Parts: sequence; C-alpha cells; structure tokens
Amino acid sequence: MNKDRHKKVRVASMRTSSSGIHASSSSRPSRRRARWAGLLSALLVLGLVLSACGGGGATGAGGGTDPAEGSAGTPVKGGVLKFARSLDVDVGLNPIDAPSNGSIFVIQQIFDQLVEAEADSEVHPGLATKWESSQDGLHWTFHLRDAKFSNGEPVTAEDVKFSIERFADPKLNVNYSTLGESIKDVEVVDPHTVTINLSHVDASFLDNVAMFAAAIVPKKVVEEVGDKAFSEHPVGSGPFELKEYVRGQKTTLVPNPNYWRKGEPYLNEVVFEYVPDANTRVLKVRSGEAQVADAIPYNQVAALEGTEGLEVQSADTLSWTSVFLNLKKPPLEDEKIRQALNYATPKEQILESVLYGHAEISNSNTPKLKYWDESIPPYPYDIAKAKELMAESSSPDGFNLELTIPAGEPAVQQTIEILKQEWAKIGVTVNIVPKEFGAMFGAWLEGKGGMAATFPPLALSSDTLSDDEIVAITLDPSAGLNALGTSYDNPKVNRLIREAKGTLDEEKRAQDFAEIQQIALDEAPAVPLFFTQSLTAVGSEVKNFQTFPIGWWPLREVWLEG
Amino acid sequence: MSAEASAGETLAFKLGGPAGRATAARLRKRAAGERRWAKATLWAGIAIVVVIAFVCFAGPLLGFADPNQQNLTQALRPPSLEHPFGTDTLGRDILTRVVYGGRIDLTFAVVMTLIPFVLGALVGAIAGYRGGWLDTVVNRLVDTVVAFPFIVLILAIVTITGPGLEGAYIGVFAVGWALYARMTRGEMLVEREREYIFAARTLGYSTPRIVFRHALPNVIRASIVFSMADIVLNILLLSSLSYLGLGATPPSPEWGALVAEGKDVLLTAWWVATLPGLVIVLVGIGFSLIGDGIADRFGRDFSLTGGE
Amino acid sequence: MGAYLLKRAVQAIPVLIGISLAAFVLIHLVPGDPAQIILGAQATPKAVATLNQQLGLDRPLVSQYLDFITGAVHFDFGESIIQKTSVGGIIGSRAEVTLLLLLYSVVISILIAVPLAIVSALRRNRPLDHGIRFFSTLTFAMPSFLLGLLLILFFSLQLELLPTSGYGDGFAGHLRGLTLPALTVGLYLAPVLLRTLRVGVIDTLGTEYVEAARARGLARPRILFKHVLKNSAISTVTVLGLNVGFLLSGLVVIENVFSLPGLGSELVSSIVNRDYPTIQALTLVFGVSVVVINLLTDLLYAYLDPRVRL
Repeated sequence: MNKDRHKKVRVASMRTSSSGIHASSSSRPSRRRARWAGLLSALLVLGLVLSACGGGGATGAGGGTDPAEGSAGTPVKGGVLKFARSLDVDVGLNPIDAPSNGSIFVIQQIFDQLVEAEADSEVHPGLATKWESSQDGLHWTFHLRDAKFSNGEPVTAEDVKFSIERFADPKLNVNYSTLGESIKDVEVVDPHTVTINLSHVDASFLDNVAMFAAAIVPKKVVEEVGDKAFSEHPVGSGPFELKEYVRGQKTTLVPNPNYWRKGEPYLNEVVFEYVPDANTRVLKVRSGEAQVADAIPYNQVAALEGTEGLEVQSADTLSWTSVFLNLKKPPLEDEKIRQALNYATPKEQILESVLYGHAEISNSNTPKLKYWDESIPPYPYDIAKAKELMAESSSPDGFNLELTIPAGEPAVQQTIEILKQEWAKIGVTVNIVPKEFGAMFGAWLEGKGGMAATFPPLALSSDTLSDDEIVAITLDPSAGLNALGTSYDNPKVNRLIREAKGTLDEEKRAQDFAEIQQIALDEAPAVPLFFTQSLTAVGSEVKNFQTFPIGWWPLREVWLEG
Repeated sequence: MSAEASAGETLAFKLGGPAGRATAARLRKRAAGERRWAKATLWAGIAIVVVIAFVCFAGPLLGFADPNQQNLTQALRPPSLEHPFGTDTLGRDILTRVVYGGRIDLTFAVVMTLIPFVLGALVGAIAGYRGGWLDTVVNRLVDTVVAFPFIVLILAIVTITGPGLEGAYIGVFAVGWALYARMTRGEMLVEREREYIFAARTLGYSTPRIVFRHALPNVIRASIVFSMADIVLNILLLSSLSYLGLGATPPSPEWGALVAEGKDVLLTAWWVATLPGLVIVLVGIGFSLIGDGIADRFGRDFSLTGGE
Repeated sequence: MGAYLLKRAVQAIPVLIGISLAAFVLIHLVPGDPAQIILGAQATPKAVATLNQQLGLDRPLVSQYLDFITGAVHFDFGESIIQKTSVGGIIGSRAEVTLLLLLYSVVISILIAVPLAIVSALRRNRPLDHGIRFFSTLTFAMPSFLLGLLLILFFSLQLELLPTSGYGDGFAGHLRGLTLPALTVGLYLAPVLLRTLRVGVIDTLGTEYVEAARARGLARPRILFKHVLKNSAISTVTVLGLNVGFLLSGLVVIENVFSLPGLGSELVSSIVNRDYPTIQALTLVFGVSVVVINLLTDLLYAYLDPRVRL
C-alpha cells in the first residue's frame, strides 16, 4: 500500500508569526506542483539550478491534536500495522532485565501485570480483577482472573508469586530494585488469589507493581529455559506474542490466541521497523510505507499535519526537560542567582520557536504525575526581576556558566542557544559544551560533570504514575543520585518525601507533594523548562491509536480501516 | 601536448606532403588549445579558492556582522535580497554563518593536510631511501594505522577530548601522516634506483642532501595532487562528525554543523542544508581544479587518491 | 604462492595485535561506564557496582584483554553487554548487510566511472572532459548524508521507485533497499575511480603498440576493450583497495541515514553505549578486513600484470 500523501492547505491557527514556514500558497498545491518542486530541488544538486520555494505550500500549524478518541465506527478485524520506530528492541524481551524503552514498549504488548497504568493517573485491573489492602497497608490481596499464556497454559497464582518475588529481588531486578524494595514476600492463598506482604507501608506500591518489570511470566517456562533464552523467546499473557525478531531491523508481533480480552487485538500483525534517522521516519510515513511513526521532530509536525491522510498526535508523557545546576560549583550555591536564571528564561518563546507549541511550560522540578499541583505558577519571563536578583547576589557582575548538552539533539541545542543569548543579558556567559550522552550522564550524576547540564527530551522519565520514586531521585540525595547531580539537600523536603511515601492518606500525600513542588521551585536547584510531549504521526486509516503518558501504546485496541 | 596528439603529429609529419603538414599543424593547434584549457582550469580553481577564502577571512570588513545574532521572528525565511541564503530556525542569516564558518573549515582542512603531508612525506622519503629496519618498522606502523578503523579512532578521541574540534585535529593527525608516508615511500623506492641518484651518490653527496634536494621534489608530486583531494575530505569529515553530533561546539557556524542542523528542516526549508552543502561542493571543485592543473603541469596525470 | 600467503599472514599478526591493543586501550580511556548507561536514571552506585560485577567489568584490565584475545583466536568474541547475546552472532548477521552494500556500491561506481572515463579520455581536455570531471566533483564533495537524503527525496518520495529506508526482505528486497545507499556511496566513489581510469586509458591509448595497432587498421572498440580496459583494471583495483579502509568508516553515516542494520551502525551504537566486547570485536573485524583486502588487491594485481612479481 503505497499511497502518495497529497498536500492540502490548512487554515493557519496558532502561529503565523515566527515559524515563517512559507506564508504564501493561496492556491491549492496540486500533486503535479509538489512533484515539480521536489524534482527541481533534486536537480539543484545535479544541475545547480535554483528551484522555486521548495516543497509546495505546507502552511499553518496544526498544533497538537487529541489522541484518537473513541472508535469512529466499529472495529474491523485484520490488517498489518507498520510502525516506523526510533528505537529497536535492543536488550531483549525479558521483563526482569530490560532497561531500555526500545524493549520495554514491546514487552508491554506481550505481557500483563496485575494492575495496569493507562492514560489516567489511577491503575486499572490487569490480571487482577480486584484487590484490597489490609488496614495497616502491609498486606495486599489480589484476585486473579482466568487468563492463559500464549502457550496455552493458564496463569496461576504460582506464576504471580514467582514473578513478583523476582521483581522484589534486587539481585534479579537490578535495574528497578528500588521499586520492589518494599515487597517482603508473596503468599499463594488459592489458585486465584495471592497476597503480597510489604515490609513497610509504601503508598506507591500499587503503581510500582503496575510497571513492566513486574509483569507476570510463566514460572515453568522461565525455570526450564532460563532468562537468556526467555528473552529471545518470551511467553506472556498479553495481547500479542512474538513472531519474529531481526535484531537491528524489525520486530513482528502476532495476536495471542489465548488473550483474555475477548475480541482483542484486532490487528493480524504488528511490524515494528527500526528507523533511527528522524527524516527517514518522516519520509516513510509520508510515502505510506509505514502507517505510524514515532518521535517526530518538532519542526516537521506542521508539514505532516498538512499532509492529507496523516495527523500528528501529541500526548503528555511522564517526562520533563530542565537545566540542572550543580549547587557545589560557585556561584551557583547562591539561591538568588539560580532564581535569576529562572526569571531570565523565555519559556514561551522557546516553546514557540523551537518546539512549535508541542510541550507544556513547567511549573515543577519534577514531571507531571499523580500529585502534580497545577495551581503553582511557573517562573514568568522577567528580565528586570532577574537583573534585580543578580544585583543583590554574590556575583552582581555576572559569571561564566559551562553548560553541558547532549550531542546530536537539535531541539536541545537550539533551546540552549536561545538561553545563551538571553542569559547574556543578565551577565551570565554561557559556554555550550556538547558531550556524548554516555560520557556526560554518569559523570553528572556523580557531581563531577561541570556546572550545569541538560538531557535529551525523553531521557528522564518516571516509570510509575506515583511521584515518590522520581521526586526522591530528583530532590533527595539519599536516593543515591545526588539529587540528579545537583547536590540539592533540603532536610524539610527529604522529610516530606518520606512522610508522603509512608502514608496511604491521599489528601496528606497531595498536600506533601504540593509543598515539595513549591519549595523546590522556589529554591531552584534547576531551571525547569517543559513537560515533554510525545509526537507520533498516525495515518488516518489507523483507528483508536493513542500513546500513554508512560510512553507505550495499547495496540490491542487499534484497528485498521479499509 | 597530449600523447595522442604528439604521436599523431609526428606520424602525420613523417608521412609528409602538404596534407601531412596540414594535419600536423592542426594537431599542434589542438595541443595549444588543450594547454590553454588546462591553464584556464588551474587558474579557475585558484580563483574559486582564493575568492571564497578571502570572503570568509575578510568577513567583517565586507560588512558581515555577527553570525550568531538570533532573530526568532525571522526564522526559516527563504532566500531573499535581505538574506541571500535565507535564515535558519533561530532566524540567523545563513550567508553570514557560511562566511564565518569558512574560517573554521578552511583552516582545519588546510592545516590538517599540510602538517600530515610534511611529516608523512619526510618519514616516508627517509624510510624509503634508507631501507633496512627503519623501513620495516615504518611500514608496519603505517599498515597498523591505516588498517585501524578510522571511525573508531575518531569517535573515541572526540569522546575523550570532549567538545569542539580538538578531537578531530588529533584524529586526522594520527592517521593522515600514514597515507603520505606510504605514498612517498612507494615513490622513493622507484626513485632511488634512478641514474641521477646513483650519480649523486657516486659524487659523494651526503644522504640528507640527496634525499631533500634531489629526490624529494620528484617524490612528492603524487602527494601534492592527492593533498588537494585530502583538503576536501577533511571538510567532509567535519560534516560527518556534525551529523553524529560530535563536531564543532554550537553555536559555531562550521559548515558541517550548518548542513547537519539544516537536515532536520530539509523537508520544509531546503535552503538551510543545501546552500551550505553547495558551498562545500564549490570549494571541492576549486581544489579539484587546482589538483588537476598541477597534475597537468607535472606532465603526467596523477590519480586523485594516490597510487597509480 | 603458498609461501607468499604465509609470509603475508605472519606480517599481519603484529598489525592485528597492534590494532586490538590500541582499540582496547582507547575505549577504556573514554569516560563513561556501560553499567551506568544501561541503568540510566536508576543508576545508584550500588546498582552500578552490582551490574559491573555481573558483567565482569571490575576485573583488572590486563586479564580482560587477555581473555578477549584468547577468545578471539577461537572466534569467540564474548557477549555484548547491551544486547546480551553473542557478539559473533551480531557481527555475523550484520556483516552480510555491510558486505552487500560495499559490493553493490563498488559495482555502481564502476558502472558509472568506466564509460565516463573512456569518454573523458577520448575527448581529453575538451569541454566534455571538463564537464564530466566537473560534475563528478559535485557528488564527491557533497556531504554524504545530504546526498543520501536528497536521493531519498527524489527517488522515493517523488518517483516512488524505491523504498525510503530499511534492508527489505528476501534477496530482491535487499537489493531494492540497498540501491539508494549504494548509489550514494557509488556517486562518491565514482569520481575517484574516474580520475584514475581516465589516466590509465589515456596512457594506454598513447602507448606505441596501440598506435601501431591503429595504424594497422584495427577497429577502435576492439583496441579499447582488449588493451585499455585490462590495463585500467590494475589501477582500478589499486584505488579501490586503498580506499576501502576509509569507505568502511564512511558507511557508518550511510547506514544511519538509511536505517541499514550493518556493521557501521553497530559500531556507532556500541561506542555510544560503551559495549566494550562489541567494540573490540568490530575493530578487529575491520582491521582484518583491511588486511585481507590489501592482500586480495596485491594478488589481483599480480594476476592482471604479469610483470609484477610477488
């Protein structure tokens, strides 16, 4: 199916000013004209002929659209979904040992958890139909539904016990051991009921056990073939099973005939093609070779939106971008300077020029999670106030700021270049230091990475819906990461974090986290920029496609039209 | 005069007669025309390079202002009178950035061709002339350097040295000399058997004198021609590094960085990547023409990348 | 002949050891810890230490290197840190892609360069000659990823002739997927070949025995194909051999742009992830390839030119 995507004119909605994408084009660009323009731009290379304004009239800014909601019609069975993906299944498909989104998002299609995180902030029934906790919050009982693995074997309480105890074992669950540390052991009450006993009250427990690493795996199979073989030939109870995995090229999934949600999935096959180059991904979905492409670059969204038969979905994520400051490097220990940097940051302008509106201005040092307080105002862009603060600070004449950025990330680079220009106005000279991500990340976390750093857009994200883990990592040095390299250490904040985790009182938790958010914002161990969004191009024949904030897609709901 | 023309001319003349002489005259004229063409291309190449270099290095004097001046309301404008090369995502004038970037690229390319050339030619010439264990050692070393995957070396070095072009300088230096060494050594092996070298030795000239004054000028001819291509290859290396995100530090307007930044908007704003790319091509053409011209002058055409 | 091969093999050993040692030292000088990269934001010092121990990365460097070398001799390159599967397997499946791409590119470049070189030589120093050399410089001097993208725009999007990326299924699919990348590399290689071939053709045309053959009235095409091309083959082989080393490195960018699962893209990602076993194995593989190709070049040279004695 190789449909050519015709371009169409869209009424310019949000931005007509800055992005300056061809303001012309009042006539409807025909297919012939688009072809002619493209031909000439290629001839430019071959014959040094200057073409007219290339590419026809891709005007206007669609802006983000809502995730495809509700089926427009009744689901149709069949079809092959071709997904051009920016990541490959690189670390195998064993839930207990897959610290990479490349693998994780596919694992989610193959396995189930007891409870599942979806689009909202509460967990939903997964393999467990209902659950309750004891009064003291230390014993959680889960009631299992009838479900089968893809090999026909039923999912039993033994499998659950096996899987959860592995999740709780820091020697097996090396990558996410903090999320399972409150689990003491698992009891089999009867073939359809288990009780998970905790060693202490953990308010985030339910959200933690919804994560992929706590997926339920068949005990017999894993014990028989071992973890490594299981990683290549996974067996789960999820909507899909693995048909074929060609490393570095593609991953093919087919429906699990024994899936417990009757009727789902609708698709006959899902093919994930690994396409690391962003331009190539966009071209693939434009030419119709793929129906879905993820990680669309910000500056291509408008053009894709203007292409007939395509839309770009922007979805919230559990991710955020910030410029982290190292409080141990003078003069950054001065709070006034850090606040000045925040006031001197033109977030609206960056949002418009670099991100084309596809993000949300952040009012927190942590991402938008369950207890995020919307009402706290973000730092406004106020150069006057910034100058005032600098004048009162320990370095009124300014200073040099060395800022490390990840190499090869154009949006980050442009953002920081704007900051460089702006912060120069308050006397701060920014030296941009692009470093390969692998080289900078570890050093930064240890506090040895220089004065300031920022990371690629989706590099830091929460793995669960609760704030506990990510807030602790970001603001509490006792979590082991030096408060994400900033060396921020506020005893009051640390206490609040511990209190929030140790109570099941929702109101108290919300209160605590709101307070933490405000304090952290005021004390500014970082310059929070945006809550990142995921941008996915979806063909119009793909129905019911959405991206969860946690990052993956419920492909079991997706069906193809026509 | 081309071999064909001269042989033909001799033949025509010998066959004699007015027809023969006329043919000879025609061939002579054609040879002269060819020589004029050859000279013209050499000078065309020099002209291109000199003009571009001049504009780049004399930028401020010619009215090109700050290449990093952002103007977010003027982002991604197509080429116009005001911005002959258009503007990029942050509203910066691309022509100005190309001009300032030229300094970085041309400096890197010329310096990182010259130094390896000089070093490599010396090493190769001496090793080739002396022979013996020195030659064997140099040979093994050159083999190792050339066989080592360049990309691993350059990526590793760039990651160690951090941002900016230091890594590129070190990496190219580490490998570049080997190529020239190999070329000059090969030529020297042939050259040292020649009679005039034998004569010089018999006359008692010292080895350094023989090598440097007599042999070297002949031995480095192929290297000189190759160096023209090498300059272009160095510029292309910078652009590949920028594609991988390991090139010059932003907001540096290095040409490779301009093209790499532009590729992200290639589908909507083709000029951001293509125009700087064309400038690189133009410089490449300039140096190629110079290389061809020099090769013609030497009387023997040399291939573009050494070896013959 | 056998003795010659043995001699070359023996000469290659110090080179290969040198390469593997250099690679080992170099990548361990690079800052960054694979365990930390794997664990990402969850990288508490304790977790990092556990993982390092599991991966065997806390052993002394010397023993790590010796283990690698002894394994390499048996073609056992250990296990990839990131992908948790045998490195040999990874290399095997990806080598096919890169080799095919290389071969295809060479074929395309020869197909482009040979006819153009002949025309250029016959019309030496005339406008056509200059024109050909001028346009060939165009594709030589253009950044490869830009050329690749423009080709995709033209052939895939506009003409819809070829896929935008990917390796494809089945041999036919592979060829289709590799055509644009091979064209990109071929267009870069062709100008290089063109110049050498042109010189070779000119020289051969000017030699006396060709003149004599022409005087005898032998048809031009026959002369060309018999004498000229055979002699040109020698220089072609030399040039290709010299360039292959750098070509392998250049494939890295191309494989990235076209999403090809080859050795080049594997090399970049393993460096980024500090996947030491894979980097070392790949470096060795590249080094061996260059040595082997040099050897083949010399053998081919000897076969084509009877004057050359090994």
